[in-house]
Amino acid sequence: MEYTYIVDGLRTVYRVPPASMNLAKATDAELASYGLPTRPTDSDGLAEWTAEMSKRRPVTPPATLVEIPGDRAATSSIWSGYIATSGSSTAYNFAEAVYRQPAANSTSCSNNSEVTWAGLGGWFTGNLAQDGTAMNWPGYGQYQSWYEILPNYAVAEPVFGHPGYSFTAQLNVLGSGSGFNFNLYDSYSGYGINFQVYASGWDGRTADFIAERPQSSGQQRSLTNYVWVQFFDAWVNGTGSGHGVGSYSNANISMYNGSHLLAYNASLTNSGQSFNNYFNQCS
Amino acid sequence: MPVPVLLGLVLVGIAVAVISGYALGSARQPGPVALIPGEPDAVTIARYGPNTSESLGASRIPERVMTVTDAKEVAKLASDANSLPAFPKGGFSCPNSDGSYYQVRFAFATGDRRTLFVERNGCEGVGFDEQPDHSVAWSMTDHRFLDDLDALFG
Repeated sequence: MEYTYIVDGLRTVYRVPPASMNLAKATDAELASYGLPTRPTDSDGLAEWTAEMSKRRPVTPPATLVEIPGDRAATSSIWSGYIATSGSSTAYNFAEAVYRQPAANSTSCSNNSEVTWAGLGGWFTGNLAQDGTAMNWPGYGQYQSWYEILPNYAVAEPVFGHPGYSFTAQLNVLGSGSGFNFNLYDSYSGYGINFQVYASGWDGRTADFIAERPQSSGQQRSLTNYVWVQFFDAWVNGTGSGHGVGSYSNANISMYNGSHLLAYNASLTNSGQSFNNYFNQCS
Repeated sequence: MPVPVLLGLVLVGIAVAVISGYALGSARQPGPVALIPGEPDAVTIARYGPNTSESLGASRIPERVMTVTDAKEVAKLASDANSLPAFPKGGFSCPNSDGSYYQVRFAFATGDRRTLFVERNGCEGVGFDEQPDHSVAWSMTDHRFLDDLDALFG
């Protein structure tokens, strides 16, 4: 009998021999097919192996494998939010953030900006594809949507978020990693845009749901006072088969600039798919 | 072909060439920035680790400091720094930055010094130490300088 699970984004297969099978008398091919230890050729080894195989009772895994995902605290100097993490570079191919568009409030910091986005990659490597909305970002309209595939700059799109209303930023990898499909939608106006960008650089080790203080022409911006951003859905891998970010190994990222805490998260709720992220200080 | 038509075609051709040249030019990677003038004779490098909640408000202490005086190695560091492309214009939402960086001080026989601030991750910006929040170059598309520094620290 074969049982297949996806554990931390990785396909994991259990092959369990039938209970009626006498393992000590199994053929070499049967042993190999179940991944059992091969039959030794020396007499001492064979005696030990036979004793073990005669006694061995294969255990069937549970029908539902319960994984307790880690909620690891992490820090960043520019990001705050949650990310799903994996050791596999192809673990995540879809990220969708549905969030209440926050409003820009005044701060004591000049040159402040904030971008809210969903993305794939960018935590373990510099490969990052993402889309979302911006506030106080030079060259972009207030609450204007954008997408970016590094090392290219962020490209503005003609859809704008409206504070207090939900905005959807979604991206997924095109077949065989040839590029990305982006989807941006503002629930207030009903305007949405969908497009594909053909580019390499997919890093599926993380799916990201982030509030960030970005750069502008080489200048690191301080953080706009956005008060808070409510992520209704931080959805990973697919609307049909995917889950909230909390269903996977994940990291809860707080933003520190070396001197102060700039932004942080509340715990995940709603089966791990929702969370609130809070502004604390602009620099 | 009548002269006015010919003239019109020439003007259209010039316009197309100018517009496409501009478009191609703006898509091109920015050229290198000369960060280190002349020939330094030593480089002192300090490596700083990530920002953490534990280090809040504390003055930052380098994890390790080393000085390079070998003429060949110093020249390579200066050359690779000077090959870095300019930080591009526009908005960038960067990969994660943990706040770690190198402070790289080039010393010259004249007594002059020039110190670079080199981000180890994020957008991998490179700037002058007096203005660490403003990068003038970046390592993202040319890793040689950052690789040199990483290799020195093992």
